[in-house]
This record gives sequence, structure tokens and C-alpha cells, in this order.
Amino acid sequence: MSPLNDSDVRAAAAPPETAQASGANDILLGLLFAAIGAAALFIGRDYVFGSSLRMGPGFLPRIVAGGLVLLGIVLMIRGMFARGWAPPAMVWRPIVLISLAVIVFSATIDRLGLFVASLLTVSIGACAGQEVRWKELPFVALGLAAFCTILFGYLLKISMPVWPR
Amino acid sequence: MSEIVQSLALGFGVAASLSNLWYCFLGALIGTLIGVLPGIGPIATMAMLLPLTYYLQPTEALIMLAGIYYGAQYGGSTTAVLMRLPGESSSVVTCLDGYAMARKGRAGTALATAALASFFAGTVVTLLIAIASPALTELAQKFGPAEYFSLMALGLVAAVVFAQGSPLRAVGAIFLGLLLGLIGADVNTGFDRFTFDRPELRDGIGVVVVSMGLFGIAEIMLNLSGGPEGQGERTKLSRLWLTKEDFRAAWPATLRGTGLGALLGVLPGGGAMLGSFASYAIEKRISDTPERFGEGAIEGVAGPEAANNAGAQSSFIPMLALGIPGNSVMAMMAGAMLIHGIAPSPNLASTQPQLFWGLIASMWFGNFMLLVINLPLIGLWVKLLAAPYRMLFPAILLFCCIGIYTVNNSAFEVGLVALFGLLGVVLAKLECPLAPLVLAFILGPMMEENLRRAMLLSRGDPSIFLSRPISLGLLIACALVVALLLMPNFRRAREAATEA
Amino acid sequence: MITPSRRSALGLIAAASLAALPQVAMAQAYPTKPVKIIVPFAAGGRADALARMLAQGLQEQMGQPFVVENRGGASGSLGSDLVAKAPPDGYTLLLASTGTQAILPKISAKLPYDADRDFTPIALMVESYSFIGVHPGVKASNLKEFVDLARAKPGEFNYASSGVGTYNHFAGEFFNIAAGSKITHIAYRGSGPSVNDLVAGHVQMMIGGEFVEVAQAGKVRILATTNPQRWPGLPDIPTMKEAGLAEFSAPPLWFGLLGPGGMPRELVEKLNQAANKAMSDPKTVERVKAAASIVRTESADAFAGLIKAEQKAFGDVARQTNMKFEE
Repeated sequence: MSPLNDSDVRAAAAPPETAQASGANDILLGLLFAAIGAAALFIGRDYVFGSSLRMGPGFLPRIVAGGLVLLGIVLMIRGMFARGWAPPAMVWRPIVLISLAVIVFSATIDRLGLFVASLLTVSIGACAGQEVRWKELPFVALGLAAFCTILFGYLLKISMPVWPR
Repeated sequence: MSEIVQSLALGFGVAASLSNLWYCFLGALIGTLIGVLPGIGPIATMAMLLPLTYYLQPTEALIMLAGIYYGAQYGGSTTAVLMRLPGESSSVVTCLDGYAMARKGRAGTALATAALASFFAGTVVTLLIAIASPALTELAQKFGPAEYFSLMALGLVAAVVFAQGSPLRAVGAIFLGLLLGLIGADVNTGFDRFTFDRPELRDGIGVVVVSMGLFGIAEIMLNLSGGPEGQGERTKLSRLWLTKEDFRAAWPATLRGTGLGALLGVLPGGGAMLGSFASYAIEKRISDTPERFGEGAIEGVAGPEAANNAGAQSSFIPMLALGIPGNSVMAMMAGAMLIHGIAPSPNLASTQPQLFWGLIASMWFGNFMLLVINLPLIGLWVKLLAAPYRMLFPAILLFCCIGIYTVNNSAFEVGLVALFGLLGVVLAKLECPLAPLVLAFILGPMMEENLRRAMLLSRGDPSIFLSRPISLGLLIACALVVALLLMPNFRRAREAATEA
Repeated sequence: MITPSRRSALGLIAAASLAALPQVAMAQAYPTKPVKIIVPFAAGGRADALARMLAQGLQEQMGQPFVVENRGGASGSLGSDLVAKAPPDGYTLLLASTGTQAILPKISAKLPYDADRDFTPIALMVESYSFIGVHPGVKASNLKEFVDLARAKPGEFNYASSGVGTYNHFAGEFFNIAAGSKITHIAYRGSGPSVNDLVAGHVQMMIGGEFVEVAQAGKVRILATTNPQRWPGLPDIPTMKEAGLAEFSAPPLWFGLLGPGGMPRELVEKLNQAANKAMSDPKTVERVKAAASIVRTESADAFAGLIKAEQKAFGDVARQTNMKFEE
């Protein structure tokens, strides 16, 4: 199991773009794994490990989080020996706006109800597109919000708040 | 044998009555339509309609609920193919190749394959329930904590097969999935782990939340990250049906998927959802061209879809044969019986033969109706994809939010979906496979539970896993898979194949 | 001398009498809009089925929709919290059980509400029967033999529960204390898997009502009922006392209707009568019987007293066995 060998095979076999990206990807992914694993180890530092008869609630968390840290480190080492260095291109606008739209739905649904939450979510979410048609947007938002309110609130009678309270 | 024929005849007589046919149709239709709304899976749908069944005859009520169950299962695969939105855990696998097919303009073929495979599986398992319920129940009873642990371990090892590219990343994804699965109160002690003092996290994160975020929401973000011309662009659709080659490829996969799904579905506690994963892993393993998997291989749709439906149906077996509801859907069915004053019991077949055999026979009708409902709908669904993506994605986004909210009426879970969407994008950009993560997320908690239960039962003696034949067999299979993965020849061939 | 508790009790009475007049009027008009009954468990369980039967009956009597809403999660504390924080106007009610009202407060330190102050007991609806069931392979044909066997072989047997801190778990510990046995607790996720492993013989014992039907088919052997009286559905099964283990003191499992804390007396009375009437409907009585339970119609005060007594009983066992969620 030689990580170096492994990525060499990859670099030789793969098309140029992936080969370039893979080194940086390994390092970043390794970093992500190691960070999550380390955080879990820290949060779970007081969980009882137990014995083989009575495995405590900390038994598996420690093994899994430790394994994740280890794998992260191996990935990082492999990435350092790989040839490519270009990190993946991230386009942040849709990522931020779509997340925001979902979070706004979660924050408003209980208090403002389905109609308002839908309106807000669609309005914010629609802005994530690369070409936003501002004249079209209010109609899409209103239309979808009305459609969902009628469908879920009145036809299906799902028990969820429909209007602000 | 003649007894079974007689009983089935009675069942078909009951199920073919006008009112029962109507409720069967209604269930299948409602199930399909609501199942198509992302997130609103069978459980939410059945819960929604449970009060309605109060006014029906018990047989009608159960036939309708059963129809909703497999209808929603089917509808869930529709969104998985069209929008990469897994309505529930078992359609996660359909997202892989079904969506890839849709992107290549073969959405119609993928949906038709799913419908036919499901119908085939449904027909076979209906017969199986009638004939082999007692035998299958006996087999399931042999599965104690040790056997479950070994089965889950095999599942995890096999998850690496899902990897595209580097197995090391797949192993990382598995560990991350395991860790996420640990969130919540520990079943053995009730101790809270990684819950950040949120009571909502005590029961763990829902599989739907994880898969909807990682696949559905992340896909929207990724689509919008592309150039303006790449926004959800798909090749224009060609045909809605299967070619002769498609049939030839899908047929054996369907057969294997049916068998696997039927067997795993009998195991109580989530066996049903393992079927689709297992079927995919096997199809990819035995294929001469595993590199096509993930790029729109029809076997990757037919097998898991058959397994999915077979498992859904065979999960009725423990409840019908023993009166023990094996999963939450069956618990709902049992609840519907209780509302009508019928207790699910091992004697159901003798005390309520009309209901028992009527329900079984109705499953065949239900599957047939699903085929009739869905084949014409395929054209409509595919047309939906022709809508401009800038109109489509806000709708998908909103349905996602509403769907997640309705599962538990929890705004908190909607927020979590955003987090998993983010994680999904980052992992996809870093070329980390997501299917192993979801599989590990599902398997992890069950594996830990059964490991600790087995060790408690054996009073700390680990030889329990080797002294029980089924467990030993599963562990040997595990070792074989690991050996195959580590064998340099196989690995090089596999990587050359997947990377090419 | 006025103790703090008496002072607060007096205060409550004063506050209640001051506010009494408009409340009488309110109670007479109630309900003027749909009422929500929160079930703090997933749809499809016993509590859910009961809530729907009750909602049906109340709706017929009161002419307003009674809507059942499932808010499962965290052993019932998520749904209970919603009701605890709702206004005590009778439009948000809770279908509670022994688990949420008597057990959870004794084993969870992190409950977001006060189990006594934040709820008003309205009506005890159902008493569920529990039984000691053993796998047919266990060499004991009656309770006495089983107790002797368990004492003779400490650490050999296991009992199943549907989770840590559930009624099954507590009942098992009550048994260990009463019999002086050491039967190991094995927790499962829900009652389905636990009954399954009991039937398959992976565990040998369980106390609960979930396996009555299975037992009638001979897959589980029932030794005794843990309720104070025999169950009419199985008249041959003795009580614990009759079978020779009078020390066993676990209170029976119940399901009942509660409201938010501080509900006006008149409203409680009105709902109590309506709920009792709804549960006494012959069809409902029959349906309840199918789930190894009987309908109980008590006054709201009797119900409140019962909860108090149970909290003490479960609290004692939780202390003795050091049972709690947060280690």
C-alpha cells in the first residue's frame, strides 16, 4: 500500500485536468477529514470508553474519529507527493445563496408560516442563478408560494403553520 | 400447496372487489404523486392519511396504506432519476446511475426500467410472501446481534466498491459517515453524543436529511456553479422506452436485485434499505465494464430498483407471519390495525384470513396499477425536465424544504439540510464519493448497537462472532472482499478501469 | 408556620378565584376553534392510535375539529415541551404516558420543562397491561420457578427493553429488585426488534404488553401480569402477587390527556368529562382491548394523584439502580 505509487498510476492514467487537481484535492480532503476527526475527539474527550464487556458510549466515537484523523493525514501525505496543485474552483455565490435560502425557510416557517417562508426562500434562492431575470422573479416567487400553500396547506392538509401568527 | 392456491384464490377474491380495487388504486396513485414531492416519503404520507383510514373497513384501510407505501417508494425513485433528489434512503442508489442516465437524455429509459424492475420484483415477492413466509421468518429469526454485526461489517467493506477512483477517499467517506451516524443518544446507555445540547439531535440525524442535503441541495449548488450554458443542461431526450440491449442488460440485474432485496427485506430493523445498496455493489462488482457505473449504467438502475421494491414488500413478512413490525412503516401498518381493534399477531392468517390474504393479493394489484399509472406519466415527467432550469431549481429547492419539514415538523432539520448541502458540494469538489458515506451513516449505528449488544450477551467474549455459523460465514465473506481490494492486480485493473 | 409549598398553593388558589369569572364563561364557550392534540411519539404507535380514537370522540361531542399532531423525538420530550410552553387555553393538549410524565423527569436532567408545574392532568384514558414473558425454551413453567432459576444462575439471563429508560427497562429493574435476581438489561431500538429477539430466544425475558398476541401463538410464555388485577383478556394469567412475588411494585403503564400548566378548573372538568365519555364508547372500549389495555375513567384529581405516586416509585428505582441518561 504505497500512496506514492497509487497516485502515480492515477496521474499516468487520468486525463490532465483531474491529474492536476488531484494533489490539491487530496491535501484539502485530508485536511477536512483530519479537522473533523480532531474536533470529534475533542468534543468526545469525556465519553466513557468502557471495556470489551461493557463498551462505553465513547468506544466507537474514539475509534472512528481517530481513524478519520489518521486517514486525513495519509491523504495529505499522498497529496504532497502527487503532481497537481490546482485547488478546485469554487463558485461561492450559488453555494452561499442556496444555503441562505434554506436557512431562511428554517428560521421563518414556525413563526411566519408556509406562505411567507416560501416567498422568502424562492426569492433568495432564485438570485443564486447566474442570469437572474428580475422581472420574472416576483411572479415565480408568488406563483410557487401560492401553489405550495394551496397544495400543502389546503389540499393535503399537512399540519404545518400556513399563515403568520 | 393446494392450501396456498386456495388461500391465494380467497385473497384475490377479496382484493378484486370493487371497493378494495378502488382503495388499492387510490393508495398507489396518492403514493406515487406524493412520493414524487421530494422529502415526503412513505412514512409522512401514511401518517398524513392514517386518520382517513379510520372511516374505512380495516381491509380497505390496510390495502390503501400498503399501496401508499410502495407507491411512495416508486415516486421517490422518480425524483432520484429526474433531479437527483432521493425521496428516501433506498433511492440514494438510484441517484447514482438514474440521474446520470437522465443527464444523458435517457431519463425516460431510466424511469421505464425502474417501473418494470419494480413490477417484476413486486410480482415475485407477492408469491414469495404467500409461499415462503414461514421459512423466511425462520431464517430471519436466526439473525441475532452477532449475525447483524457481521452483516453490517460486510456491508461497510462492500461500500468501498461504490468508490469511483481512489479507494482511500472512499474509506475516508465511510469513516465520516460512521461518525455522523454516532450523533445522538447512545441506544445502550442513553448517553448523549455530539448532540451539542440540542434535544432534536438526541434521536440522531435523519437519513433523509443527510441524503437530501448531500445529493439534492448540493446538486442545485453544483449546477448553478457551472457556466450559464451548463446550468442543469441535459442532452435532449431521445426515447422513453428500452432498447433490446437495455433489456438484455437490465434483465439479469433485475433478477438478482429481486432475490437480494427479498432476502434482506425480511430482516427486521432496516434490512429493506440495504437491498438497493447491496444490489448496486454486486452489479458493479460482477460487471465486465464497472467503469460505466456512475455514468448511467442501466444495471445500476434495474438491480437496485428491483431490490428496493422487493425489500419493501418482503418487509411485510415479519409483520404478517409473526405480528412483529420490523420497521417504522410496518409499525404504522400495525397502528392502523390497532385503530380498527385488530392486533397484529402470528395468528392473523387464521383469525382474519380475508384481511391477511386480501392484503397480500392486493400487493400484486397495487404493483400492476403502479405500472399502469407510471408508464404514461414518464412522458410527463420527462417533459418537466424541458422547463428552463432557472424556473425549475427554485421549485426543487422549495419542495426540498417543505418535504424535510413535514417529516418531523422540525424547522431545525431544515437548517441541517443546508449544512449537508454545503458538505456535499465541498466533498464533490474534492472528488470524495458520497454513496459510501450515506451507506456508512445508515449502517454505523446498527453496527455499533449490535456489536455492543452481542458483547453484552456473550458477557464480553468476542468469539461469539466466530462460533455462530452465519456470523462466521459473513465475516469470511468480509475477509474475501478485503483481500480482493488489497490484491495489487485487482486494484490496478480496477483503477485503470475507473480512471480511464 | 407557612411552608414555601403551602404559600405557593395558597397563592395559586387566590389567583384561581380572582380569575374565575371570565374563565367560567370561557370554558362554557370552549371550543370555538380547532384543538390540537400533540402526540409526542411517531405516528403509528399505541399513543397515536389512542389519540386518534379520542380526537374522534371529542370532535363528535364538541363540534370542533380535534387535530392529532405527531411530534416525536427525544423520548417524547420534544412534543411535551411544545405543550408545556403553550397557553393554557385548552387548544393545545398532550397525549402523555407514564414514560413522559413519571419516568423521563426522573432520569433526564436536561428536560426543558418542569414535569409538574408545566402540565395540568386532565383525564386518565387507558391502563395498559404488562406481562412477564419468557422465551419458551426457558425451563420455568411459572413465575416461582423462573424466580428460583434466575436467583440460582445470576448473570445467565437477559431481558429486553425497547430502549434505555423505557417502561420495559424500568419494569425489568423492578423485577430484579423484587426477586433479588441479576438479569442483564439489553436495550433495543423500539419494541419491534426487542420482541423479535425474545421470540427468537436471543434474550430470555421481557416485561411489557407488546408480545401478548405473539404469546397466544405459543412463541412466548407469559408467566404473570404485572398489573394489580388480572387482565380480562387472559383470565388464567395470575398477578405477580398471586404468583408469589408480592414485592414487585412497578405501577402500571398508562396513557392520558394533559394540558399546559395552570389550566382553569372549569375547562379541565369539561374536558375530563368529554374525554371520559369519548373513551367509554363501546366501540372504543373494544378497540382499546385489542392492545392489551382497558379504558379508565377517573377524575382529573385522581389522575394527578396517580402521576405523583408514580413519579415517586420510578424515582426510587432510578436512584437505586443509578439509571439516568446523562452519565
